[in-house]
Amino acid sequence: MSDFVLETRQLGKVFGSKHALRDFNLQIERGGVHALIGSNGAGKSTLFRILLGFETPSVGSSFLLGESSQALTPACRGKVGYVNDEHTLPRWLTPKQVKAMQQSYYPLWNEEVYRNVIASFDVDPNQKVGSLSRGERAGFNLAMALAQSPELLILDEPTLGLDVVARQEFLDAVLFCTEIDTTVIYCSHQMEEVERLAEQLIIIEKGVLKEHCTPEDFSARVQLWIAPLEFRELIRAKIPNLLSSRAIEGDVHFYVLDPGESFGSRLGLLGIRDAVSQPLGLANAVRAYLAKNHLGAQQALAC
Amino acid sequence: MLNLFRVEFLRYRTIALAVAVVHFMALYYLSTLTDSGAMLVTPRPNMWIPVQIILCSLFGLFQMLMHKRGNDWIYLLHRPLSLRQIFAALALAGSALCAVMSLLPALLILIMLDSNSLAGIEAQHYLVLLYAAAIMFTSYFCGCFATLGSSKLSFLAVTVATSYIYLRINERVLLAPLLLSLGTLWLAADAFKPDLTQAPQQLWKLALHELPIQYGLLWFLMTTLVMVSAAHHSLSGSGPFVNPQAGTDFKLMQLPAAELLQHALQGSTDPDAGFLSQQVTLGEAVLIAMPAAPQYALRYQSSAAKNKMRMTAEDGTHWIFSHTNMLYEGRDPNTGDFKGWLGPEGIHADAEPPAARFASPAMASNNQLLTDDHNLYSIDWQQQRVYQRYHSEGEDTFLDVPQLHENMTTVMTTERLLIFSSSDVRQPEGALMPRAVLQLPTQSKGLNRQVVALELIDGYLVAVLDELSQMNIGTDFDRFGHTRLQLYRTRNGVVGQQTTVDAPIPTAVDDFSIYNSFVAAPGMRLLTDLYWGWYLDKNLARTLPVPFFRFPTAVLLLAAVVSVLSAAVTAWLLRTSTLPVRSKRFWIVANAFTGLCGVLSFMFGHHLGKAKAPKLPVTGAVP
Repeated sequence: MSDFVLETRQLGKVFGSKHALRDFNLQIERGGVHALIGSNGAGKSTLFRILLGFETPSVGSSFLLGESSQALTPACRGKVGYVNDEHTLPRWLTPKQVKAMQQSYYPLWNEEVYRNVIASFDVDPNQKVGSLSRGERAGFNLAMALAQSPELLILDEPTLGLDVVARQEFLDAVLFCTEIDTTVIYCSHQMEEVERLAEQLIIIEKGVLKEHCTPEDFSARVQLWIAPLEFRELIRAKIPNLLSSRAIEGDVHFYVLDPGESFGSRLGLLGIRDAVSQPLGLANAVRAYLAKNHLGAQQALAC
Repeated sequence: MLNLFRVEFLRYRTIALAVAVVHFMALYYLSTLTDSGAMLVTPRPNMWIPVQIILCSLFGLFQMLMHKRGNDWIYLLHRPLSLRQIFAALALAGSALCAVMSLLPALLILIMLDSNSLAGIEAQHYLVLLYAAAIMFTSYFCGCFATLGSSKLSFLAVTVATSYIYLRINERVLLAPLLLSLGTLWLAADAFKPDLTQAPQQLWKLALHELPIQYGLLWFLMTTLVMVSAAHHSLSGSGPFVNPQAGTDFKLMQLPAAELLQHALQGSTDPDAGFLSQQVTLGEAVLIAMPAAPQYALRYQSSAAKNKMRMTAEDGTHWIFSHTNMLYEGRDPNTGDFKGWLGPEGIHADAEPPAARFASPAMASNNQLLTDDHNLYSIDWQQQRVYQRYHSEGEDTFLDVPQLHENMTTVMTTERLLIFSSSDVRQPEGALMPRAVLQLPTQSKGLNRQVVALELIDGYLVAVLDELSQMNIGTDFDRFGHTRLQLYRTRNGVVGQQTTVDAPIPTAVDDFSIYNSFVAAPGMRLLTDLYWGWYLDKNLARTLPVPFFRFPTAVLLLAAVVSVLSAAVTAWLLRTSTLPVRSKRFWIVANAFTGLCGVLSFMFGHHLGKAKAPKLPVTGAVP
């Protein structure tokens, strides 16, 4: 058995002249929740499609549970759960019928897990799937994915469009995965969810793997500093690894990647006086990190 | 797999049932207007088959499109089932739904009409459903392939099914549609894979995927050409059909009977040509209608023959030929009450069919004459008797019912034209003696013949325009330029005929019209001939024309130029390609073979995109 549930080697995908993925090397060990983060168009969905064998890589290779993504066996597919943001299900059937069908495919079907999850979303088993609310459908979809007893569960923005309560229920259910030794790859734009769930953070930008570390490590690498507004241009010109800066109430707030322990004294040497560091949560750290290459966000922050 | 089949079937069950009900109602309505089962069973292109082709193609296209969109494709395929199992479940469900929509209403209407004996449905009529099923499944899988195929031009594969619309429907050639449906099933199954943009890896598979696409391109090109040509002919008032040149086949075909005889006499070596010409001016030249093939059904009734297999007696009783009993069955048209059987020995009122039956299907004309393969009968309704009037020996069989004209009655056999005196024929009984028996040359399959006749003072004058071509389907190379005009004269009391004219007639169709498809796409044209030639039961020369048929030099040269240009353009397009050398060679050779279709398919399909992809290392191996 492979040590990694997921592995990519020099993976690349080209659409016409656009590189959706480039030299992508990723290895994910068994267990835990791994959050995949990136801006829109960063290549997350392409990565999932390649991993599940629905897209052929232009270069490199990828493996799921030790099997090449391009030749996944039915048995391997049975060990990988996949939930997307649309919660695709046969809308013309009732949850009862869908469950009966799914159950027949998976020998390790866990009825208890299914019942527990579905009960928390209050899904009527005799109502047509098409008439379920988005939250109910998401819960039902997750219940089905979890009941398969998957070794790997891929969740692609599953809480998109869910209300606060449904989202909470969903996250609780995902947390349950960690108790049943399922490895979860969780893709989301909601940093609060990532902060709550993730044990590992994977950040993609423009098809390139930028970061793969724990949330704590990542948070430690991004710092928020506040200095008087008069130093704004100096900060922009002289600070290395500057992620972004913005003016707020007579001060300039700027985010720096890997500033190092002596960053404060270096600011003094540059003539930037009265600069102070502020604690920064994961959500803000990721936001600042991703905004680096996001022109719209940069402009918004600058304003 | 069965669960998936069930789920897929349930998805469309309501719409399938709705379509089936509408279909049944439409057929029922048609059955009240037209000749019962003939609307389903006809050798001519009719509405039913095209509707089924379009319906099933669209359903296959739609079904796969619904799975292909968004995340549905991943939902469908990402489950612990093999691709083959998933496709089998979908294809079975799709086929079953097509059967519900198309075959079930047809079956029900046949059964319903069958229960009404006046409609005259025979057991063998149900065979048409088998034929329809083969075409229906071909259409359905073509529709699936149109969505699943990796080429952007995969939708052109639907042309394979729709081209049946233009062809004679004949379930005696059931093997071809069955094989084609299996072929399209394989195509759709092979195209069914997670990454739909990925072209087949093996070259032979790629070639098979390309075939229906290029066939569609060929039809598209030819249809465009025909439409442009027709528009030009309409605007200019010229062209082989609108205004054929004098002395050509289509011009002669348009001439009235008397003028055709006069034209033939102009080249005649007959010393009495001048006198004969005067007789043509004074007499009544008649056009003898050629029997439509197939003349009567061996295993079904054609709509044309159907009209020749029913009679209305003087007392109003409807008599309809029963293939099951090989007798005419009489019923009261108002009450449906059984009135009796009509066989070679007369009319029998008993419900039990008599022992003496017709040896082959008997066709009726004028409610008075009956013709089976070898015998001509007349019916005496007053005496309830049937008389055998003429017997044809050997393998020479009647092709049609007699045609009664004012003075002469003609009837075609497979080899001869028999001319009787109409006054003799109108007698209820007595052996008929033909006044003239003309031995006609054997007719090539698929070609037509036009015959005109005139009664002379001392015999008959018959002009035959033989081996006439029609530009109705696929334009065989060997279809044109074989027309001959023959003039025969018979004399009373003299056995045999005198042939005074046997001249070749040039065709009005130019080389460009005949060979354009061969020049544009030589390989595709030959492959198309191979299939349709076999399907249409043509002879070997038409199915495999290259070794048997002598092409004009200019045509061969033009075809060679198109091939070379296609290969050159392909090679130029591939100059920056990262495709393996083997694939490059394949495309160059294949496009040289298939000409314009090959290049167009290569340019507008997915292959050029692949060729242009940036150079990257090859995908790694499994660890």
